[in-house]
Amino acid sequence: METQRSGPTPEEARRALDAAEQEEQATINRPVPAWYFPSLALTAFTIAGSNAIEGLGVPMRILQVALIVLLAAGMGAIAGVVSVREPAYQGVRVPWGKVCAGGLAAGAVPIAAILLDDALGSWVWLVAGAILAAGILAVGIPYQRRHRGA
Amino acid sequence: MLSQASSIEFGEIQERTGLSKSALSKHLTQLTDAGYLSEEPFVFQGRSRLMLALTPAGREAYLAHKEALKALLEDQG
Repeated sequence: METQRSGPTPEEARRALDAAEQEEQATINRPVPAWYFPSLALTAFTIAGSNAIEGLGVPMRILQVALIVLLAAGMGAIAGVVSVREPAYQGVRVPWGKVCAGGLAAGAVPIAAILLDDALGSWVWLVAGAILAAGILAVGIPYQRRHRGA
Repeated sequence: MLSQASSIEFGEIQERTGLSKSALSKHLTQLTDAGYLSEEPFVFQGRSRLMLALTPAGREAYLAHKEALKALLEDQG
């Protein structure tokens, strides 16, 4: 009497596992490079923290402003590149509500530094830079871990 | 491929599997109905797209299937 096979043969199982392994290797979700959030944090700290430097002459101030503009443009370019990529699932996808809330929170930090600068001293810019950097890392590192492990 | 990504766009799955749109839709609908997949429509660069992701049940089922295949091979080996 002929017996009916109920599952895959070893050869079929091996082929299925090999195919699964190949697909897994071909699909490694990296929403952003590892350097993305640290570089954003460092840039934000540099931009805000550079305001703490006092006693600069006009040439150095011009250089400082140029550096800030360059860093800000670089930060925007990096954020743009990783946010608009193909295929779409590999980019950073954050709901607009969170983007707006994060933007408002980030904007409040330099505004607070401007308001407190005269009363407390220019060191508040270092604190502002540190807060911005810490905020970026606090949001970015868990985001990257969550997607890397997915 | 879905086991390694939080979600993947329909078009990319179609490209990588080589299936027709209707055939892939049929497979994905079955998996969605079984609770193994979730679908999320979104707009990217002005085009309407569909993101697909494994649900926890789908991920569990996939891993269990792989383990069963490995066990089968080990039994033979």
